[in-house]
Amino acid sequence: MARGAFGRATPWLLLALPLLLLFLFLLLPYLLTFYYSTTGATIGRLFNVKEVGLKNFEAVLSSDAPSFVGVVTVTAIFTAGTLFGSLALGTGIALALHTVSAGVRSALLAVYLIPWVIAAVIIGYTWRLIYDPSIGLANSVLGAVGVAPIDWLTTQGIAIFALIVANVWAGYGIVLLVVSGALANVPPNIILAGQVDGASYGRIVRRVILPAIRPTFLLAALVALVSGLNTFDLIYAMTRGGPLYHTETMALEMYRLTALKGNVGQGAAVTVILFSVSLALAVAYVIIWRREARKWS
Amino acid sequence: MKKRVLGLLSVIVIVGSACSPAASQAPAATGSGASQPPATTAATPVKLTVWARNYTVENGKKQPWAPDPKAKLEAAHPGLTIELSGATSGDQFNRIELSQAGAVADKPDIFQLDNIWLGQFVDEGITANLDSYYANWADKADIVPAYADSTKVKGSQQAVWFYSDIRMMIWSKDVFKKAGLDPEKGPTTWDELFADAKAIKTKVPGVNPVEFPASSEESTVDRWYSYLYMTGSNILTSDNTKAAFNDAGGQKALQLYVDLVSQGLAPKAVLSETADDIYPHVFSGKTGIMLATVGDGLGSLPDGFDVSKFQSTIGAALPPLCSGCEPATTAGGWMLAINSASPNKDLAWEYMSLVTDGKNMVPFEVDRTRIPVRTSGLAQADAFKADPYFAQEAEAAKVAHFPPFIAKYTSMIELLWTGMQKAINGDLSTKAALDQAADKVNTLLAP
Repeated sequence: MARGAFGRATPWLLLALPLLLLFLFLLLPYLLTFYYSTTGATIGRLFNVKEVGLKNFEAVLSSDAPSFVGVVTVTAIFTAGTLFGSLALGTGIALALHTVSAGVRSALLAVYLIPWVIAAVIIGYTWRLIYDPSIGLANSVLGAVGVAPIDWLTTQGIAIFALIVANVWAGYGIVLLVVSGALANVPPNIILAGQVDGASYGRIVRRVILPAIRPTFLLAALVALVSGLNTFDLIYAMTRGGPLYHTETMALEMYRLTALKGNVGQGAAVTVILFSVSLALAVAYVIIWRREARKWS
Repeated sequence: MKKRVLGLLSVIVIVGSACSPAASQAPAATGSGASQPPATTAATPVKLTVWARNYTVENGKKQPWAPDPKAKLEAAHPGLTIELSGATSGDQFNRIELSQAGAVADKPDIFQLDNIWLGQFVDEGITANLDSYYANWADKADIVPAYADSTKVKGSQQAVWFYSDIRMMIWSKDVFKKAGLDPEKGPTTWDELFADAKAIKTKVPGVNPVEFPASSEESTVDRWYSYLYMTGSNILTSDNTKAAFNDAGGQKALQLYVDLVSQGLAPKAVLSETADDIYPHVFSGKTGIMLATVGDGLGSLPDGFDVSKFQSTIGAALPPLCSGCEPATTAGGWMLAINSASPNKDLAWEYMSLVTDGKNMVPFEVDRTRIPVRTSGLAQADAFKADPYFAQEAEAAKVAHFPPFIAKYTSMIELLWTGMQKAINGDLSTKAALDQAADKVNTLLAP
C-alpha cells in the first residue's frame, strides 16, 4: 500500500522543484506581464497600482510617436527580411557544405557558426562601426570601387536593409545547424537516383533534397521568424530605433516604454501583443508540422 | 519507507525555501531597514549603506569614499560600519527605483545619482530634504556659484554635488592646418564657425567640416543645450511646467544645426550618430569640428594618445557664440543624496560632508579626470596638469547650466530630440518642429 502511494507520488516529488522553478521564472513573469498590462504601474510603483483596464492597449495602438502601424510595418519588414535572409544564407551554406567531405564539413561548420555564438550586442556595435559613414568598412569598400559613400543608418529604407543584413549575419547559424543535421539524414540513394537520371545539382536540390528536409526546414523557419520578431539588442546597439523611430520594432518599443520611460503598464501591453503574435506563429507552426507529419507517416 | 518520503519532502521544502524571493532578499544581520533604531549613541552597532557608481569604489584606484573619510567616520563612531557597493549607471538607477518600489528589501542610506535623475527621485519621495543640513554647512560657500542652486528642487536642497563634466567644443588641428586655418584657435563665434567649416569643405575634401550628435538618444539634446542657453532661452519655463525651448532663442539654436546640414557643412548622417560615434572621426582627422563633447577632463584619450599628443592634435574651447549671446555651456555630473527612509540621516550627512570635501575629492578627480564642483578644486590647476584642457574646462564651469530637474525628464527629451530630427531632416521648419515638440511636452507635463 505504502509502496504504491510512494510510487505514485515519486514522479511528482521529483518534478516539484523543476515545476517550482518553472513557475517562478517563467509562468509568474508571464502572469505578471498580463496583469501589469491592465494597470498604471510605473518602474517606481510596482505595488498597489491602479487598474486601468485596456487603456494601455488603447494608448499603444493610438500613439503617433511612433505610430503603432509604423512600428508593426518596420517589425514585419525586418522579420520577413531576417526570415528569408537567414533561410537563404543558412540553407545555401548547408547545401554547399553537404558537397564536401565530412571532415572538412565539420571544420567549416564550426567556422560558419562563429557569428551565431557571439553576443548580439557585440555584433550590433561591430556592424554599427562597419556602417559608420566616415570610417566604416562598408563605405571604404564602396569607395574602392568608385561608389559614393552611403548614410547607412540615416534613411529608413537603407537603415532597415542594413539592420536585416546584420541580423541575418548574426542569426543564419541556427538555420545552418538545423538544415545541416537534416541533410545528414537524407538517404544518399535518392540523390544518387537523381544523378543517375541525369538531373543537375540544382534540380536535385529543388526536387529531392528540399522536399526531403521539409519538416526540419519548417522548424528552422519558425526559429528564424521568432528570432526576427524578438530581436532587440542588435537594433538597440545599432540605431536605438531611430532616427525619427524609422527603425523602431515592437521589441524596441517594449524596452523604450518600460525601461526608458518607466511606463511598465504600456510596456507590458506591447509585450502581451508581441507574445500573442509569437504564440500565434508557434500554433500555426504546430498545425502545419502535424499536416506534414501525416504526409510522411 | 516513510522516512525516505519525509526525507525527500524535507529536501524539497528546504530547497524551495532557499529559492523563494523572501529568502533571497533577506537583509544582512545588521541591515539598515526602517525598523533599525537611529544611531543615537556611539556604541550602538550601525551600518551605513552607500550605493555608489562602480568606478568610485574600484579597488586599486583612488576612491573618494575611502580610506580616509571612511576610517575617520568609523573612528568617530564606534560600532559604525560603512558598506560601499558600486553599480553601472543603468543598474544604479534601477536599484534605487526598485528599492523605492519595494521590489528589493535593502535600501541605501546614501546614494549617488546622475543630476538628471534628481527631479524624478524628489517627486517619488526618495531623497531627504537637506535644507537643515545646508543651513549649518560651512563648505557650501566653496561650491562653484553656477552649481550652488542646481541641487535645489522646488526651493529645497535635495542633494550635494559630487563631481561634474562640462560640454566643450573640440577640433582637429591637423584638419585646420590642411584647411589653412590657425590650428591653435578654434571658432569663437557662429560666423567664424561657418567660415572655418567652409574653408575645410573647400580645401580638405573627404572630411566632414562639422559634426554634432543628432541620433535618438540623450547626447543629442544634452550637447545642443549649450547653444540654447547662450541665446538666453531655456528648456522649460522657470516653474518647470511648460516648454520654453520653442521661443526665438531655441529656434535660433536649432537653426544653427539645420543650416550646417543644409549647407553641406555637416553630414545628414549626424541623424544616426551619437557623441561617441563622432569622437573617432575627430581623432582620425575625418571631421574638423565637433560642436559639443563632454569635457570630463577630456580624459578618455584614444589608444596611442598621451596628453602631449592629444594637445598637439586636438583643440578645445567653449562652444562658439552667436551674435549678441552670452557664453554658456551645459554641465552634468553626479550628486549624492540621502534616502528619505534612512534612519541614519545625521551620520549620512557627516559622511557625505567628509567625502565631498574639496581636499578629499581632488585626488579622485585627478585620477578619473573629473571636473571639480568646488571653487577650491578648480583653483588647483597644478594638480590637474594631466588634463590637457583643464584651464578651459575651469572657465566653462563658471558659465555652466543644467537641465531641468523634473520627474518626466527622460520622456520629455525623447520628444525634443524627435522634434530636432524633424527639422534637421527637413521634414518641418525649425519653428514648426519645436512648436510640435513643445505641444507634446506641455501635454506630458500637464498635471
